[in-house]
Amino acid sequence: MLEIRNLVVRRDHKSPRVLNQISLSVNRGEKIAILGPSGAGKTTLFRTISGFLPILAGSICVDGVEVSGLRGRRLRNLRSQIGMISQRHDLVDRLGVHQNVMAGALGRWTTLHALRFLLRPKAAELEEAKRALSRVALERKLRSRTSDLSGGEHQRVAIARALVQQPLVLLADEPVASLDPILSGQILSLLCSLANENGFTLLCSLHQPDLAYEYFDRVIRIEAGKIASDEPRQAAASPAVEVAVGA
Amino acid sequence: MLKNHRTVVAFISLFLLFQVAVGADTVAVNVGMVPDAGATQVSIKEKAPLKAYLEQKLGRPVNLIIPTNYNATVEALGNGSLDFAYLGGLTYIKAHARYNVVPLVQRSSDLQFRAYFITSSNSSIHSLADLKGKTFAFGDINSTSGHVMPYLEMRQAGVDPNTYLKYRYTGSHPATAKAVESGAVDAGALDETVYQSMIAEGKLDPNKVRIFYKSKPFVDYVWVARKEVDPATQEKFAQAFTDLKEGQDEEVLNILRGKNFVRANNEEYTVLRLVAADLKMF
Amino acid sequence: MPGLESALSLLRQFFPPDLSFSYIRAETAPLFETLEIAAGAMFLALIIGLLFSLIIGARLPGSRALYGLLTTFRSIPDLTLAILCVVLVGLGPSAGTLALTLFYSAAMGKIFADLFSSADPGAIEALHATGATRSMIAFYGLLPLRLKDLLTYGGYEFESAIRASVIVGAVGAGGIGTELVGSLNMTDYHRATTLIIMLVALIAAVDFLGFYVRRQPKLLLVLAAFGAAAAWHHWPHLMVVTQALKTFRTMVPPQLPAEAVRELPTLIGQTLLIAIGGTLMAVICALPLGVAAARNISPLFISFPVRRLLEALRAVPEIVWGLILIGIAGLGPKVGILALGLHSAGALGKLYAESLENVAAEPVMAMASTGGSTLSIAGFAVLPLAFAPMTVHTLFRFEWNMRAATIVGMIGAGAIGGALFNAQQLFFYRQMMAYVLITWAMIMITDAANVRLRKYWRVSEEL
Repeated sequence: MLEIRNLVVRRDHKSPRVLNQISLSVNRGEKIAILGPSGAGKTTLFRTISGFLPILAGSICVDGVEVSGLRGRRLRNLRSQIGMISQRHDLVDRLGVHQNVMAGALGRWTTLHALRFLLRPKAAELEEAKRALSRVALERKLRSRTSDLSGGEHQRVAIARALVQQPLVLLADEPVASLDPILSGQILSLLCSLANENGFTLLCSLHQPDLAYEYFDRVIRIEAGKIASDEPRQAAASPAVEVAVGA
Repeated sequence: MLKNHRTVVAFISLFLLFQVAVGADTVAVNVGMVPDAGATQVSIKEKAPLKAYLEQKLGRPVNLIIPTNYNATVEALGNGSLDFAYLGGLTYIKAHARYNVVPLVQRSSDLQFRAYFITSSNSSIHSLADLKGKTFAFGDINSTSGHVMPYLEMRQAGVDPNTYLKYRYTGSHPATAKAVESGAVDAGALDETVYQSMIAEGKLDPNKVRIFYKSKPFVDYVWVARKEVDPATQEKFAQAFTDLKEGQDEEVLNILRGKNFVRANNEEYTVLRLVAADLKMF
Repeated sequence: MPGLESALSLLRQFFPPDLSFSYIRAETAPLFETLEIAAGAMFLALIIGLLFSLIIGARLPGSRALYGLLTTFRSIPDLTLAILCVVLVGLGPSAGTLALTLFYSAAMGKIFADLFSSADPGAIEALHATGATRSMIAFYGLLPLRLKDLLTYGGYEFESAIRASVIVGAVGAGGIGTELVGSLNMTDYHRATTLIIMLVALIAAVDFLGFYVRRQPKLLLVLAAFGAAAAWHHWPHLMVVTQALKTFRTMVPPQLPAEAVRELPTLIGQTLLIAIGGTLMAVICALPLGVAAARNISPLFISFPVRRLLEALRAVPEIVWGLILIGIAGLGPKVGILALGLHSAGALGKLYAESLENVAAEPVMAMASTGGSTLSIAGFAVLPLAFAPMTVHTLFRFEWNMRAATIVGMIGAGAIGGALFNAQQLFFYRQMMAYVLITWAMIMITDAANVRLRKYWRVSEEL
């Protein structure tokens, strides 16, 4: 359902390749962790899949649709199939929590519908936001100011937004990088259980190998823009060794 | 360290270079005029023959300066940025009171000067009394023919501008004429010579405006010297004006909107002083 | 509709501009004078302002008093200062240079001090820990921390100084402003158009220059040298200064006659009406224009012309708009409202567009990744993210318009500025000083109210 072949991406024409000949095949419902030091190309890979960065060579297919060269309405259709959560800063502080959550519906709403919602949300829409928030145990925050949320709540709201979006694939870019270990574990197990319930594919980049091996089916390592290893969890070396190598 | 050194040298040499480019001061006689007919490069250019004439008579370079308002002209006499100036009646009495300026010459017509009240040709205004409830334009607030005397006559006619009118100061006589012509205001008052020369030069359409009242005569404009200017130069300056003859210096006289010049003295302005004090403008 | 008809016929009189070679050549001298006034004043103001702000930033003794002094001086409108300076040092560029130096030393001193006070306290503490003295911290800690912001603000202030030098020209402080106001007064509209075009070109050139200076800071040296030369040349002579002190003694103590006191409430009311009305009109115009001008929201074929429109609107100072409009809209506060509204719409539109363009990329990308349309992303991410800077800009604009409202009063829009100008013109300097003080007090009150509003909307800490 996600097919990446010989993908090459650069930031601009002068800089070296950020992604160099990446090939990857992902099946529906898989839960994959992507490990690698910062600067390895994890964020670039995710942004390329969502169509934010131009593809220099190779191809990406999401559910049979070629990403390269998509524009306008068709690019937006693709994006509405791909959820995205990032490290931080991806909620809009000035909006209410309910508005941030329902932003997940922007892909299926018309512009007019979206702007009307900002001014005057309908009861049904608030109900949907509340349902999504209840899945992340935050329904009491429905009408809160986003700027008042804690770090863990922030990420759970971002997840709720992804639930509203109902994507085929959820790309989580270092979702727990700024959280403490206990919260990190909670967020990752939440993501995985939601992926199981809703049947979406989960790609999650991390830099802590122990978490990757604890929660995910498959662990891919990216180093310097290339895939260094790609193994199912059971076949991996013992986590203790990985920690030593990864550090 | 070397880099800083270079920066300093570069700065100083650039500074000197610009200094040469920016500065070009001459020791000239600075002659100022009230902006009775505008204060732009254009009006200075139009007055080029006057400048040339004065340079010839004084034997020194002359800077013709037209400040933007009457107050500025007076203060310039006070702080020495002007040596000679052309002032209106009210401005003169103020300049005399503040800085003791010396009256030199004036047009003979300045002793019997009038202000014209004008309105658009199709308006219903035919007398000062008709001005009630209308909009009105004065010139500069310090102008004698554009403010003080018209204000006085309006009050005497029972139309106190503060009570019965909406008015504003346009800043100059031509501006008043244009404001009336364009209909921006219903009526206005201005210097008779400016009105006539605007009509003569085609700057004002005589079909669009008409005079509905002429003021009683009063004493107006005068050329003055800053009191520190040496008497010989003052005399030369005054002589230059009294020497002007109709038919011979037409070009210069046209700029000055006059026919001949006579010596002026401070006593002529006694009545105006009383009037201005009464109107709380002095 | 006779109003519209006369407005159109007046507008027609502005075209075509007088583009004859001889006229443009005659006007290059005043144009350069404007540039000299602005550059000279900026040079001095940068040095003085930086010095003041470093003193305040390092919390040297007396910094509180100094900050108060800067706030005070900044609260006197530039045109009011120019009037004072024209009275004190006479006509021409000296008065302009002096007025703008005073105004911008205070303005930049305050802005820089505010920037320093928001500098990263951690870095300053680290310097403290090394045992550095306070003045060392000022130079090694504060200056590098904020150099980029200083350049940005410096560039912005330079542009506004050019415009201000036009404004002060209106009262006889030299430069192209004197020419423009003279032409408008003479109803020489064709030439006024030429001068406005020259002014727009000058401001565009300065904008362009600022862009290069930010990339090539070495160019700053040339500008500084030019500014220093201009300041040196236009600085008032000593004889003038002694006369100025004498004149100043005739201005104090301030005094208002009884009838002027009776009129005061009306004047203050009109001033408030102009400032509030003008700001409101500007916000209403600037919101759609700002969105249309933001390059991350609107396509190029819309943003490009809208940007040019905004430039034209703000290149024309309020007082010039007032002079143009007074022929159409007649007398009274409505002229002031329109004049402020048009100019501020240009200024706010640009600032709104910049705020919209400068929002953080991550949340916008997160919104875009849901597949929403450009406009819904604008509504859900770009606008709310830009809310804080936009609010701050609007509030600053209101402060600005309080000053401007007193200025446009002079041309017949009523308000306190008209009374101030008339008192000055009639040589009633003690009465003039009273109006200056009242103006100052009104602006101080507005500023204080704005600080409260910024806190209330929680926008100050986000800038």
